[in-house]
Amino acid sequence: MIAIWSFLYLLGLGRLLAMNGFDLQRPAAWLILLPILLLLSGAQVRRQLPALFSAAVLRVAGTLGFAALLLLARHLNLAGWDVREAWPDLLAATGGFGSLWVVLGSAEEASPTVGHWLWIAFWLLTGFLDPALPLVGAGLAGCLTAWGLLPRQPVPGGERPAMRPITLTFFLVGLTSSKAGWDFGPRPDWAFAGAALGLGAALAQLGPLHRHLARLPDWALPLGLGLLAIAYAPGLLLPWGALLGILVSLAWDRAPRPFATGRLAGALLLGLVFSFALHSNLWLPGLRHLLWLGN
Amino acid sequence: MIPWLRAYLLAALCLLAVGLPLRLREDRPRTGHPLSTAPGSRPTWEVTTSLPWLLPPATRRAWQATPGATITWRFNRATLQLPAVPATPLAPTFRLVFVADLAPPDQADLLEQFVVEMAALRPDVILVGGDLTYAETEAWYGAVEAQFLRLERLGIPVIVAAGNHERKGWPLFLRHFGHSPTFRVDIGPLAVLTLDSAHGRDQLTPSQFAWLEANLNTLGGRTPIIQLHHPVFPAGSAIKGEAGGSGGSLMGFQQAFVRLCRDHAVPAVLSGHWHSDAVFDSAGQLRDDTVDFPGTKFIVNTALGNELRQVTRWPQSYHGYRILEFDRGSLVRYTVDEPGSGRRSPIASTPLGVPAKANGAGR
Repeated sequence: MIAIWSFLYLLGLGRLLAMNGFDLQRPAAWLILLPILLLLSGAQVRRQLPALFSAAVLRVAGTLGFAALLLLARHLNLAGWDVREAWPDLLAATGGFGSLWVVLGSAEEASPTVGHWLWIAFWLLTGFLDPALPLVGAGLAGCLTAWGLLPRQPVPGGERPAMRPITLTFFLVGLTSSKAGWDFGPRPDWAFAGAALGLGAALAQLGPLHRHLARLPDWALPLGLGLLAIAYAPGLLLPWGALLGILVSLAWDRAPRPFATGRLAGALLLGLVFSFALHSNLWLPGLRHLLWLGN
Repeated sequence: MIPWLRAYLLAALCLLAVGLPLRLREDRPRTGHPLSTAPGSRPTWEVTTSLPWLLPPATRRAWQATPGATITWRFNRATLQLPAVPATPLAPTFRLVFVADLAPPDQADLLEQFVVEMAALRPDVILVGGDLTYAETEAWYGAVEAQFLRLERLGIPVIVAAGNHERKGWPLFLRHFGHSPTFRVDIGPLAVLTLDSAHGRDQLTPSQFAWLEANLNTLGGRTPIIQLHHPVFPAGSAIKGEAGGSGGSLMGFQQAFVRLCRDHAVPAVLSGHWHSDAVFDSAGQLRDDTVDFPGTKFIVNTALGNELRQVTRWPQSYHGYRILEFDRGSLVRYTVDEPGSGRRSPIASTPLGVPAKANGAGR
């Protein structure tokens, strides 16, 4: 569920805000940051206030989050998002908060399965219709999880150490996954890269290929992700996305158990923000030649 | 398997819940009537719908009732093509006006003056090269759009590019000036290619560059004119001042862009952003010596209404616009004569006259 939330809500929201011009000049815009705060502090909150993560509360949170994200998508559909307007900001915050509450309150689960990655692929593809739709996918998954209706795979055993360097790897996942969005901007074609990512990740979970990929050394993951961040070409969007998906799937497989939500999803978010800054020419202008091939 | 089927069924219902009732957005790259109704062209109308392959019933009926109309789809993007408008012989001369960096609300008189002057000049088309508004309010976006609509009611199409300031009120810009900031419009002998250089902050991105290349390869005999907000070249050795940090130029794909212009004989690339006039050749040299140099003219235009600056050694500074004249598709003029000198200025744009209010020629 955390993979679904990260790719559909976190990356989807980041992309929407980057495209529509996020600023904190209006108080309403600060609302959008609430789910991020919860993401970073959620584990502590859960430890200290376990009663707030009971099944009943999760159902309320999941349903509320889903409804808010559905309303947000209806509000933004074909119109774009002016972040100075309080209503969509409130909906985005409520949706993110509610669905994340379910993530934090749910029992630990194994790595995402083929079904989970296909869900991510499907909803990222709906971004072609409207960039706000992937967020609905996160909300619906949260609601279904809260009601016990989304398939879950139990953790296959106790604790598992993480690959090294796992935080850097998740940072690179955030940095690279958002790249097609920066390239296409308002054009919706980035959604195909997202769908290819989900399909590639699902493919990597299939039996024989999964066994072969399991032999890849840990260092190959950050290296591969770093190379994909540089070797991007819109003409090769689908294979690029699929390859990225395979590496993303492996990164998730090699994450620690229990999953360090705050640290790893936080690293992914940091990668997204860093990617935006780089591709927006905000920092380190000398690196711009590495950003786009042929530049 | 069944839980997943149930989940996808709910997902389909979600898509319907977002998309119903059916909504439709016109993806017009400009204000007013479709430019493609120009004689000799095949009018097209692009829309995005809230659900794929579905049009609101009234629209569908209207489109289907149009003789010779065809509809093509790409998921939720429909293109209506109408029968070709009968061709009339093209006039040998074609006049284009380029402006950029329009007036902020407290200088609205300058925009009014521009409209008055255009009503007298009657160019064939006006290109607006970005930074349309310096106030991100619905009211001001509406006011600027209303001025453009006045021009279009006079039969002067207005083609709008996005600048860096548009990013501050991006949803407002999209709602008022169309959701396709990178687009092509064929008009008269020209293929006007509008780029969104602020999309990647002073950069073109790979997909945008690929789009430009594809369009330059399919000109169909038309003369290509490119407008983008950021100047292609930096001021270089001609630099006078950084102009408060606005003296930036195109960062991404700059060299490839210049090569493309050379290979496809693009006569002019039009930019704003500096609030200052300048003309560069393909080597990036400021050409304040002559108007007669080979290759593409990389033209930077002064501001129509915002604060004036001096970025290069070119000394003249005033609010203005640039008139480009074409003879049978060839660029023959892009500057105005220096008053009283008897020679052609290598750089000067046309100064805007006295504000309309001062003339007593208000709305």
